[in-house]
Amino acid sequence: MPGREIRVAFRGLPSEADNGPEEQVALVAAGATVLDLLEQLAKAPGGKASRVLDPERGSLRPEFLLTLNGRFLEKRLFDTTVLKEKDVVEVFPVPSGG
Amino acid sequence: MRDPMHGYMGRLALVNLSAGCVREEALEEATAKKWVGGAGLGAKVLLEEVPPGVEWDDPENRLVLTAGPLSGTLVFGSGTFNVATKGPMTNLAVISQANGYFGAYLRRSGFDGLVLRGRSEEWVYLWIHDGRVEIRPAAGLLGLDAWETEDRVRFELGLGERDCSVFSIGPAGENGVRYAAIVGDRGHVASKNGVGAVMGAKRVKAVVAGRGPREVPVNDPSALRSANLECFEAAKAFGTTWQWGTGGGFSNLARSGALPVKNYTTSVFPEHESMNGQTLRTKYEVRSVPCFRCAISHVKEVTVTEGPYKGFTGEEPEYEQLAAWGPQIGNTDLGATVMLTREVDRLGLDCNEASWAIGWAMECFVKGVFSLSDTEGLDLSWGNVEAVRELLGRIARREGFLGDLLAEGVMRASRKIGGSAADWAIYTMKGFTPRGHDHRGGGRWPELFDTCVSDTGTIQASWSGIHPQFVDLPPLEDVFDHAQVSRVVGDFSGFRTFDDCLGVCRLAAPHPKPLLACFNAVTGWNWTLGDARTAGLRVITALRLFNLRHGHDPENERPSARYGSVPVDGPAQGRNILEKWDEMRADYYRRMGFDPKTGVPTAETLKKLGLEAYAPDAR
Repeated sequence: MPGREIRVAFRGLPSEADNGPEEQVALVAAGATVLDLLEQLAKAPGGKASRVLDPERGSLRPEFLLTLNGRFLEKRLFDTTVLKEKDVVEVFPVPSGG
Repeated sequence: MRDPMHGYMGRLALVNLSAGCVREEALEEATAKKWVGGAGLGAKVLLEEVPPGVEWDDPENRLVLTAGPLSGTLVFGSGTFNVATKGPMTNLAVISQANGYFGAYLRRSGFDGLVLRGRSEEWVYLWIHDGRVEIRPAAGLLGLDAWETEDRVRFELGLGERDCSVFSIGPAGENGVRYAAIVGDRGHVASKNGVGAVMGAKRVKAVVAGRGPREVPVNDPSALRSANLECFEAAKAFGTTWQWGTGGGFSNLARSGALPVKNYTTSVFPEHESMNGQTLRTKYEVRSVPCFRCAISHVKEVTVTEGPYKGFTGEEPEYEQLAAWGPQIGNTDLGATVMLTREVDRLGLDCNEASWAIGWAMECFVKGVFSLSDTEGLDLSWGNVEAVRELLGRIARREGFLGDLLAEGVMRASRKIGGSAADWAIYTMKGFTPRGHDHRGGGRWPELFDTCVSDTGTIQASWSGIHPQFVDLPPLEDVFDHAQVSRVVGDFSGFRTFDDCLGVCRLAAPHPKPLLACFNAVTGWNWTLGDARTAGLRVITALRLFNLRHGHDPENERPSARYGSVPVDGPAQGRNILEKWDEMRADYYRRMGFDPKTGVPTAETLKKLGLEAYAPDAR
């Protein structure tokens, strides 16, 4: 079964987290969930995902949010939301400012 | 001889403006421990000295300006002070802080705080120096904006820029604009709930503190140095502020649907990357203008290097001003936000309320509610920044139909116009407006809820998100979970209010733990996080008692129709905070020790906080 190409972006991290590209295309297996994608990315040495994923909790750290195709996705849905070809995932910190 | 109280100068100045005299009062340690510093002493004075029936512009209202126990110490950013009063937006209490130098200089001049009562017959300013307070004539300052007032006062006193700290009201405060601010040190503001209007009602144009030679007594200077460095490290690790200022979060707010765009008519702002802090600091000429002893130095002055405002120099717009004068009014020119930021600060207006009021007026204009005749020739199409500049001046002078209308704030203005336009205004039902976000977006529900239920006249638990994990409480996992939102707001309430008692800039010390270590090093009191929260909750509960006495109806702890509406587009499209509002509010009340139905603090809560004497049935 062919894999799925997913566009992934890690936005708005401090510069000390600039240890990888802000945008990339990830190839995941058919049937892979959002959580599968994050765990796959976290294994890449030096990748930004390692900064935002909490391995103990198996999810994003509390200070990060995720949108799928421009809409928020709750963390509790990460392991049941199956990715489709050309999906766009953006991860960014809970915004500060003001 | 009694040991000195560490962390305090031990003196308050009581200024009777009606009589034109000043009296000193000793600050006892028991009082300082119960009512800590800035916000604490302010809440105490309001609760004990401003009875029901005293309105915001009554001479018997108090205007309380207080430093905190850390003000003027070596802690970075410890020039902060607190303003407490009964404010005109809500006719309820407010505590509002400003950074800069005043808090430190007030202490170096020998005082922990000033309590202003009465109303001066003539306009005056207060000159605080060398352990005394002088009441001086200010007729020559009338009509000057905040910058001009600073310059004129320094000239009159023969002092240089850092020899004194000047906080004043611009034309807005002189003319009774309900959201007038107190502005000083070139752009720092205590801006919430019309504190500048109260100062104007007392006919005080400015308060000026000399740099002074006095040192704040510190219990353990070595421990303070260590704790201060911990604060510094926490500040550097807090988001992108260290690098890019508060505007560094602008694009992430856009991605969250949390930028205010055209008065909440949309939640999409594709131009965000051309207007964020990263762009601003990369493209424009920037120089640091730090607050008192601040190594974070996030405050900058900038010169615009391109576009219609090329060559314009002003203070760097903080996030709030970027949002106010960018997306909220449909403007996509970054240089114009620099121009409007300076305009608002010089006039002495709260940028949040001003932008909600003007954004609402622009929506009314484009939808045909206001004609060119109503606006007296101003084309209030989205993005017309020169029309906005003109309108700001009219508001500050209460000039013409629209200027006078909007000077009342957006709640009153929209109710006066009525019809559909009444539903387009963004405010809390208590009467004040939120800070400059679209709180319906991702990660900002806690601030929407906090803004509506707080007793401080602004937010009390949230700030730049909400951080219960900083004090080892469970974090907010799902930003759209109603129960989690009320939980974190209730359980984290008190911690940030304690911070507001201390006299330190939040951006220089965002983490409660090292900040508490600074407090203990200064005072020697060895408080726990629990003690700190109790002190903060005491302030909140005292203000709630004050508000209830002064007619606050907890049913007004809700957003207006537009503020609480469901986003029509963007990342948070369809999310509805109001569908469980009553459950959230009851849960918050329970967590705060208030009656879950009435919102009145319970007898048990009052006893725990040492507030029994102020119980509603004890009056």
